Amino acid sequence: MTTMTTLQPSESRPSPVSSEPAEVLLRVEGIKKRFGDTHVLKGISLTARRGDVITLIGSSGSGKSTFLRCLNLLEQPDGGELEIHGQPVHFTTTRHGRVPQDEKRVQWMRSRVAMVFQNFNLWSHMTLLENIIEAPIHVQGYSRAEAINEARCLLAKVGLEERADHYPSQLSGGQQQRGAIARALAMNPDVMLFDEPTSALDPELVGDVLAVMRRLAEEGRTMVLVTHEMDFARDVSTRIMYLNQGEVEEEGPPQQVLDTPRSNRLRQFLSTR
Amino acid sequence: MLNLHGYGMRLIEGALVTVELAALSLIIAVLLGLVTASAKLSKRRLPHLLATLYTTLIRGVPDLVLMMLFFFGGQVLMNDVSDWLYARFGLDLFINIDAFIAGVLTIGLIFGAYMGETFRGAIQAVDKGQVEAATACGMSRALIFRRIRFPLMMRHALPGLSNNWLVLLKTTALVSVIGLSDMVRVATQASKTTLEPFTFMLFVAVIYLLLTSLSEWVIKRLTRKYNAGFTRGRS
Repeated sequence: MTTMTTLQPSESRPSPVSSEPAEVLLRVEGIKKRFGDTHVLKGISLTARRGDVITLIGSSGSGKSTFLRCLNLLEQPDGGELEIHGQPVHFTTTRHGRVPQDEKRVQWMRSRVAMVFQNFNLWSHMTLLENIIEAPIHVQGYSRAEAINEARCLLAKVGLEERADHYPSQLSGGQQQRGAIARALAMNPDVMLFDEPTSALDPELVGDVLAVMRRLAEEGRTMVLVTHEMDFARDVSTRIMYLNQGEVEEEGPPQQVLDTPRSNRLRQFLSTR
Repeated sequence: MLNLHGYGMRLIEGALVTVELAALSLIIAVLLGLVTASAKLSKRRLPHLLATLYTTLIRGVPDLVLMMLFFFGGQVLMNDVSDWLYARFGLDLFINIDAFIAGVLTIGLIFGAYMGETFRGAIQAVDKGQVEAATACGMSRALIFRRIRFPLMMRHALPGLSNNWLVLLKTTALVSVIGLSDMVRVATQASKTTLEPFTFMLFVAVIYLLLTSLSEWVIKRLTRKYNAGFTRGRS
């Protein structure tokens, strides 16, 4: 996909009548999560097909970040099913709660679903380049030379080719986040998760990070993101889900959800933005 | 020039014993320290309790007392065990505690407790987000420890670790009381024979000083290595 006209990937996707819908990369059903007595997630489902950009919105405490973290099992859901590329993750109940049966399977799954964090979380004892080649070498088994080649391309893509040998502490927040996006891309994941990627940035640095993410969306990357940037969400999303108190209150294409909200709460939420 | 009355070779051999003893004890102490720290940070009650008991005991009793307790007390225990084995099963098995091994184990055991405290603080100081990022990349727990947790932790652990090492190195002098021919014991014997304690003790002091100075140099290099990526001045 090289054309720049696909700002609304929903319009460019083939209609289900003429051809098959895009392949399902990530499917979760009825995800539940409890912290103590608080039910943070009360059964949320999501299906991400290739090229989907799904944005989760909602006020703080609505469970959107927890849900996102369940998608690559950084948080273990107490109930529900999870499938990546058609491969289910099986859970088993021990006295420590519900845990995945096969740790190896979970590790493989995590390498297919990359995560970009609010606080970047680049490894501070490694240079930017070392950060990016770490997982390709040690998790995926690429040779150092291959990994470095790929990393240099990715650094160019996020506009940091000059910064390869800098440590995270020598980079601005925006540069660190773009570096973190490059690190996630280096795994060539099926799905990328973004957990409020611009919330920790100074306002003037937000634009660069959003520009990188916008380009990824245009390239047809499958993404699930939590963000408060409503204009951005409107532009790039194929679907928006509004979460309230651990439940999906409303979901649909961005225009529908943002311009003609049906629920009062969503209307209220949008008016405070 | 120092007149060592022909004790030179034996003193050098003693110095080698000191270095070997210290190095092996350090390995045991670091491993024990990592285990202790993990146990203390564990949510489970039993490991936590055992680790607390261990550090409280070790840190509350003088090193010299512990050493004699383990060496002489240990030998009495071993004798009782072999007596019992002989009486019960007719097994004629005499277990003799080797002074070198006893020294290594005792010093390792003592400093494991101190290392445990050092590592506990260091592990807690590691940014959880960076470990989480590694988990999210599909790294296994072992890989995360080797590539992320350990190097990040070392940065915080090195000052305490270095201090423990210097004290450990000097504590090896205590093994002379359990009959191990380390540098100090050789020097003590030589002083008694030649009635020149100043000469021999000065020699020993200089060797210790050389060893600690060498350590400081290594520590400085390690500090530089594990501080890579962190701006100077931030602790």
